[in-house]
Amino acid sequence: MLRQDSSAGSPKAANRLKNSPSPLLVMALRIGALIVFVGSWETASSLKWINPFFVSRPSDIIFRAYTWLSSGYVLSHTAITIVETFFAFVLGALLGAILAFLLYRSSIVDQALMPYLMILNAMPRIIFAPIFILWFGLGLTSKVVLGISIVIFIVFFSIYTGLKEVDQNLINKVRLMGGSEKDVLLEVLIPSALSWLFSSLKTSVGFALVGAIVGEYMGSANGLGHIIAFAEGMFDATGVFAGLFILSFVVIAINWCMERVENHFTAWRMG
Amino acid sequence: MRRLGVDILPDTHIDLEEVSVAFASKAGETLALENVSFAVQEGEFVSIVGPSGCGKSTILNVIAGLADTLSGRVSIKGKATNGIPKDIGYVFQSDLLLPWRTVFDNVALALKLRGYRTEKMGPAVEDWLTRVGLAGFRNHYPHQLSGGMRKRVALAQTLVYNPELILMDEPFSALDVQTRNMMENELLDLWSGLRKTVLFVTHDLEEAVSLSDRIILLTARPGRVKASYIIDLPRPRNVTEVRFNVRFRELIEQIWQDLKTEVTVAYAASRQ
Repeated sequence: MLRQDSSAGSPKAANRLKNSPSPLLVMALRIGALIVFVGSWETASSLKWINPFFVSRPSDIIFRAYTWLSSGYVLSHTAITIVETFFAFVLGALLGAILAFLLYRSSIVDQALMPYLMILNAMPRIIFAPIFILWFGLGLTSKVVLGISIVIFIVFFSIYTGLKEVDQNLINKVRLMGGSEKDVLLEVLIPSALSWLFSSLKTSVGFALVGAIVGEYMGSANGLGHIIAFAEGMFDATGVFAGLFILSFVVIAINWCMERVENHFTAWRMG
Repeated sequence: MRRLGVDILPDTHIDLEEVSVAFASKAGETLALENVSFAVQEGEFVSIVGPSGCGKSTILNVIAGLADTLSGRVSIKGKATNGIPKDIGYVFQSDLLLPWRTVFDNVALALKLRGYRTEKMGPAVEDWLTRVGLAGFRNHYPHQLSGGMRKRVALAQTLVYNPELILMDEPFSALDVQTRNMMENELLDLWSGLRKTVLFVTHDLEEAVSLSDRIILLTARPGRVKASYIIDLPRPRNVTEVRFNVRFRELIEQIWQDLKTEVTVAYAASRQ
């Protein structure tokens, strides 16, 4: 009781210092947790406590990933997945932004289309994957379309909300200073839209990747999703995990790049 | 109909004749302003005072071409206005800076919109940054500045393009008292040098008396001109010191007697 009281009464700054552990300790704990997890997986699998046929072994998975990488087998597949992600994001963001500006500018179009956009957005897009494969084939297009169908709504809703929240007086001010409609667009609306686009950047790129992977998984001859689906078809747990292992590095790399891009373009928001 | 140019003094800057404004509301149309008439001379500093919701800001918006009138006419320098007039500056209640532009680029905005080249507008922008004491902050972004500094940027942003008429809508209401008095003095200094026409909206009677040449008092909604007062305090003024002047207290008391009834009416209406 007494100890609780004294800690509650201490100043905020001191509390923060007391409660935030050293970065070294955090790093050590992280590595420790990884070693415990991977170590017990390896041990349990090697000693046959769990069936290695279903869960594989970390050492096998890493060896498989290494073999795939050194033989170059996985590189072309990874490249295809990244290309699909890139096109899905760029086209989805572009279409989403155009749609947002259209609905923002015309309230009649807004009122007419909004219910349909809400319904389409509520549908789980993944179930469209077979239809897109049917329409656009097993190649790159069907995966890009699936990615676009997800990204377009994320970008649309974030930019649309952002535009609606632009202070009308900021627009008035630009007009009062002698600005034309084009100036309002260039000085106020597009920068606002971009700032909202960048704030949803990581989510939308992430979903573009999901679209690509799911599309490949459901029907393709290429890409990381295909590698995973192929291994699964062979009952090759090691192959599935190796595919996921490589995929997770792709995700980390993309996130890192997006953070750099976001920081670069939103420098005006930083302290 | 009065013929334009006959009964208007040659140096009349703004002239409002029988201006009424209505807004669409739940109960159909609400009258915001009713038959408002007054004129502002060139170089005059006029404040509009009235209870909250009486349409003070609407008057500015009508002059700036941001709100439509129901009836009546607004003329600037003898010409009836149509849309946004040229040569007008509007300082809003919030600073409304572009958050993605630096202090320099924000101040340069109007000049850029008017098609000036960067080399040509540089000195004017630098000059205004120095005048409002922000020369050392030219590369900062708005979020890195205090409220008072942002307000000074907004002021420089408007004064840099040298508009003849400046509309100000409670520009200092969000500031703390000390910063506010500093800014009011700065505004008076700038105004006495430039002699622009200023139409200033405030709900703060002391602010209005300490700054203005004349005060126009509006009634509770719908806003009508109730009275007009000449503020015969000596200039140059210091807004903090002028408050110790006996005449200042007399003026406050006189205007407050008229304002009080309107405030009571507005307050009763807001509680219904």
